[in-house]
Amino acid sequence: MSSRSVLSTLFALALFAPDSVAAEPAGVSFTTEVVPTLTKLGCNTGGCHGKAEGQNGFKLSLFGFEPQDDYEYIAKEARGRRVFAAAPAQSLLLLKATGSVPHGGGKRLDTQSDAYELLKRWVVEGARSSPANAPSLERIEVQPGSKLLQRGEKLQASVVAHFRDGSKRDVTRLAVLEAGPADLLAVDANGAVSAKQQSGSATLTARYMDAVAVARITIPFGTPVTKLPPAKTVADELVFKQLKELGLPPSELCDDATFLRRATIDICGRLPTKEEAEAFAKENGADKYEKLIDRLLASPDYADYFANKWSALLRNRRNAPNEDAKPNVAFHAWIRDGLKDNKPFDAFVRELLTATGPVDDNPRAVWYRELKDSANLAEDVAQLFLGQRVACAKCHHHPHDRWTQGDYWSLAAAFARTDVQLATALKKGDPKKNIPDTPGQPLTVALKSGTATMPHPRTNAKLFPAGLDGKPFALSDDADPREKLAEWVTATDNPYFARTLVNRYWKHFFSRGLVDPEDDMSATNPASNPELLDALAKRFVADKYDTKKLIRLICTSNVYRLSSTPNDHNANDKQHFARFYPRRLNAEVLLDAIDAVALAKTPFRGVPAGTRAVQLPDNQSDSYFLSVFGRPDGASACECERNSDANLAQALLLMNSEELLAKIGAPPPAPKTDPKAKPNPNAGPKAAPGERLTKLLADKRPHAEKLRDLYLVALSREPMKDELAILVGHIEKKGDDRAAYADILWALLNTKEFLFNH
Amino acid sequence: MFSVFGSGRTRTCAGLSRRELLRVGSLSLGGLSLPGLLATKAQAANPTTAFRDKAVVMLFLVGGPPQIETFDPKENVPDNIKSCTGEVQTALAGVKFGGTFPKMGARADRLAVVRSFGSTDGGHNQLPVITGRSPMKSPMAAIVARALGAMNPKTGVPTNTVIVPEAIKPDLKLNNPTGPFQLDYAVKNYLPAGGVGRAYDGFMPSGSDTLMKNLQLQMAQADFDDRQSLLGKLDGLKRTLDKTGEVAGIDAFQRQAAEVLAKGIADAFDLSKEDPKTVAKYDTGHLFNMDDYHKGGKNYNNLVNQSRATNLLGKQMLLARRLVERGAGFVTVLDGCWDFHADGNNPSCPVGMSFLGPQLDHAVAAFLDDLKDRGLEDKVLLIITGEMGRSPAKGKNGGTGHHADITPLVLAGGGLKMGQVIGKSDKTGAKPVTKAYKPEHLLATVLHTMFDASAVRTNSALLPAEVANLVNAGQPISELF
Repeated sequence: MSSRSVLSTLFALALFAPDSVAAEPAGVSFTTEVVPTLTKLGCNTGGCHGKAEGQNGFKLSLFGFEPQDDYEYIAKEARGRRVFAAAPAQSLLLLKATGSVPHGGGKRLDTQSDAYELLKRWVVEGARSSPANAPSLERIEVQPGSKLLQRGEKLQASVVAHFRDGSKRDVTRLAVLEAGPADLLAVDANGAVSAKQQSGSATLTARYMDAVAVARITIPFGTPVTKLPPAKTVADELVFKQLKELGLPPSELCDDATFLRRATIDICGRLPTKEEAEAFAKENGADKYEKLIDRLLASPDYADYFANKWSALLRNRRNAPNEDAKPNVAFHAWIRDGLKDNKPFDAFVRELLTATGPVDDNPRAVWYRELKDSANLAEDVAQLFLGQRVACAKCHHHPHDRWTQGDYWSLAAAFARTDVQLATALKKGDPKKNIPDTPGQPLTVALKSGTATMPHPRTNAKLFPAGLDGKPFALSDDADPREKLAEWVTATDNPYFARTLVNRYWKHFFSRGLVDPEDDMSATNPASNPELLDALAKRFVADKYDTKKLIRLICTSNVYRLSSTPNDHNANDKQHFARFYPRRLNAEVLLDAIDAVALAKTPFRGVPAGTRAVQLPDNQSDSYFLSVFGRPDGASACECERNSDANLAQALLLMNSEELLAKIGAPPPAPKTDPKAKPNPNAGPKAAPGERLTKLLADKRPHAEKLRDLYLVALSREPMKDELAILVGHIEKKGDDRAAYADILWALLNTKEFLFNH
Repeated sequence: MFSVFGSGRTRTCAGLSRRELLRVGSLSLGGLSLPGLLATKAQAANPTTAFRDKAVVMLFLVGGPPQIETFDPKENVPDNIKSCTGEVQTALAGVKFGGTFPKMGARADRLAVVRSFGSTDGGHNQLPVITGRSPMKSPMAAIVARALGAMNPKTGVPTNTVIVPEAIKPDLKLNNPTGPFQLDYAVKNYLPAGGVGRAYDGFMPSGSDTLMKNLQLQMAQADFDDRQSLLGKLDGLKRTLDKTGEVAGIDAFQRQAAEVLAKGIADAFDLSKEDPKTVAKYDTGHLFNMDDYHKGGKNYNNLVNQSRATNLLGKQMLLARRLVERGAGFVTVLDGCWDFHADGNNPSCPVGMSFLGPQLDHAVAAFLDDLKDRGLEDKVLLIITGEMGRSPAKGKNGGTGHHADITPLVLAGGGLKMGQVIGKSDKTGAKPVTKAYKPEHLLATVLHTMFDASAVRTNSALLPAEVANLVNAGQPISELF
């Protein structure tokens, strides 16, 4: 038996036989004190001794999750030089950690510290290991739990470890403590917590051995909330409730033009038309907002826009423009049609997870093609539909969550029989030798025969398909384990599924998830408003996973109608939705919006003429514009792949590119470069000139009327008096309508009001 | 210590919250990011930032430079394998270079020579080495730009620049060689950023890529001023929007764009701004008359593929130094042409080495000395390599074939361990006999030089996800660290 499997067996004993425990010898415990101390000092992180190959010959298990291995490394290896009982202070472990001898990691430990005393005492006591059947850790708790702190207030937190033999002890000094966000809350190594001068919700996290615990710390703003818009939905009720508790007054409701533009962009991924803007301004009736949301959700633009979102998340991509686009177009259409028909989200996921057959009948095979193996599939399922990033547990215990390698590979086992057969090309035969052509095979998702199982990478034990709750699926011999997986994922009592989707959609509309990042819903990353998350999830389940109903609930809430203009109290709020958080139009929406204003058409390769950017089926329509504005490449299941950051290349593009200047219809710039210079073979298709400028010049109405129309198209509102004065003044001063209107188009497209959904 | 939990709530994937984005600063995404602009100074002091304030200059010897005549000469071998330029003893005991490299040899204590590197491709395909075989098929330079932003926030200098001889002499009229030696080929291979996104495309001062174009004002300055003033007035009326932090960044970039357009970044590319004494030290123009080797010249002999060989390498290296000094992250210098078939289109090994060898020797020595004088030695990693090596045995005419298994690779500076020979090739220089290093090891070496791999390993949110993954998965050339 290898030492590794011996250790694993011992470990298994510790896990499964909690009753047969042996008391630790008196003195310092290796498992519950020494290893956590090394963890706290940072010795066993992945960048230092915790990495697979160790550091300069000294290896530790990553984050101390394998204390039995660590004992070998520390006490037995290196001919015992690391611990030296005869002269404990000369132990290499201490000399290195205190920087007394050169140490790549620098000085980690002070000789005056308690941690130093503890490690030294352990050596003095004979550097004993802990018995394998010592009481194992059940859980830890942070005291006090969730708590209100005033700005600047201090607090001593403690961490208590509960062992399976019923014993408990204070491990504050052994636990790794973290507080965040950094501008709200800080904690030192001994558990002294201090609230900073900013208000909001913060978390205090403790980690000890393989357990984590979190306390939510609320630092109230303390302004009486006297004026609230009426609560129309459960979202209103619970957001406003929290704002009252926090003393954080929300902004006013925004004006109708802003709301129309906001909702049309968020639901349909486009600007409202001039006609829509005019009609909405005139529309009366208290239910005009509900009616607007219903209209938007019923329009095909909704399906286009959300298909754009899901297509990237489901990796609908090609690696090169010359790859066959048919499967991608079909997969995109499957996504879009599902959204158009408002297919319940559980059905959508079930169809995806159980997809079988050749790509012609089963365009979802594209997702399988991109993910290829069961581990990747499991990771994407967890991230997309369960809000869990399990990837760490592929190779070791998840460092900040509960997932074990067993959890990971049991989930992956659900795909163990999935056989992704890539497309093959036609093989030419030889008619002379009577060898016929071998036809190519299409991309196919098939099911292998046999029992679905995965080996545990450490123990080699057979792992059978199971959900993240660890309960193996009941499988008959020929059942497709993916059916059971889909059943478990979409079950109404799955604690992750509904919450993940409602959180993801909440973020779509509010820029920030209730849990953020939206696909990291682990214990250590609690929701900013847990009650709201629960309520939305419950409603989503009760509504039979109806995504349109969910969007309707969110968008008809008065929270979604709050102005982005801060009041005296909420400018710094980025967590509690006391105002609308503006965000730049995303790449595709912005390009379409510019085209709508300039009356231009951006040509894309390989798609029907007139296809707008949000309608593109996959990532392979080459566009410098989309790339620079951060369109995702469909290469991960993370929404973070879409990059909404501003950068200089964007500013240059909008202010000074041939592409934009052509769209606004300005005369082509004089060639400044060498006329003989060869065109860049990588340049995208040329942008067609926009027609807006010509139309404006041909329009014989007064400037003020033409400008009014232009404003309705670009900003969904009429220009203010001051704006008209500036613009008409500019036209008159310039004395050249063509140049003046080109200037106006240029300026309008570069205003923050245009570039942002606000 | 690096936090297990990352900072705040960010985890393994680059699912950055706004706050994290602000903190991560210019290491975040999409060209130059807002915080880079607002807080460059602050974050230079930020210990959680992964960028180690390094830069890379990659001198790419296009065509397939010979390993034996450069940095791995063989002794006690048949004459056709021996270095056709002889050998020189270097500053390292027992280490010899090819005969045309006395200056580099004298500085060998500042070099690390890898003798077990192979490009994996023996067909003039430069992409494996350029991209380090990254899964997103992005050049190493573009990957660095993805992490640092397309431009340096302070200076506007592009992170990823490719320097061809035309950058030194814009009026240079070189004839067109065949296939992989054409300028078009370079434009197609070195500039496109691949999977990391076109915002990170390489910038070729003499080329015509979109970013370069957008950096040159496309309208009369007066019209641009008019438009800016109009924009200022319109934005000014909607000041309430500015009250939200989310919107404020745009102003900064618009201002920066206007500045970059007004002052241009021309200075960085202008060698006339350089001290003439420094120029003279780098200059390789005196080493040979390039017209002799071009069409109509006395040494031309119809060797078409020599058409892009110039005596400008010294100044190209000087330009690279100007750029890294001004905040460029990854500068690629292209030198051609090192294809020595002796087949009518290409020179023989002795002929090719006779003019390309001394130039390389001189340009690199000048670069090393200059960096040392300026205290940039540890900041800048110089990489000298090519798309492959050459078959060890020379034919009757002194020509050699393509060879993928051993490719010359020399590194200098970057704070890495210098003064060593890493790895070993077999008796004839045909195959590695120690661990075979490949382009992916070079990529990891670059990334581990540029970024703090330990910090990234514990907090991958410090870099864009795809770059962090490469850092974490990468196996650098271990002897260098």
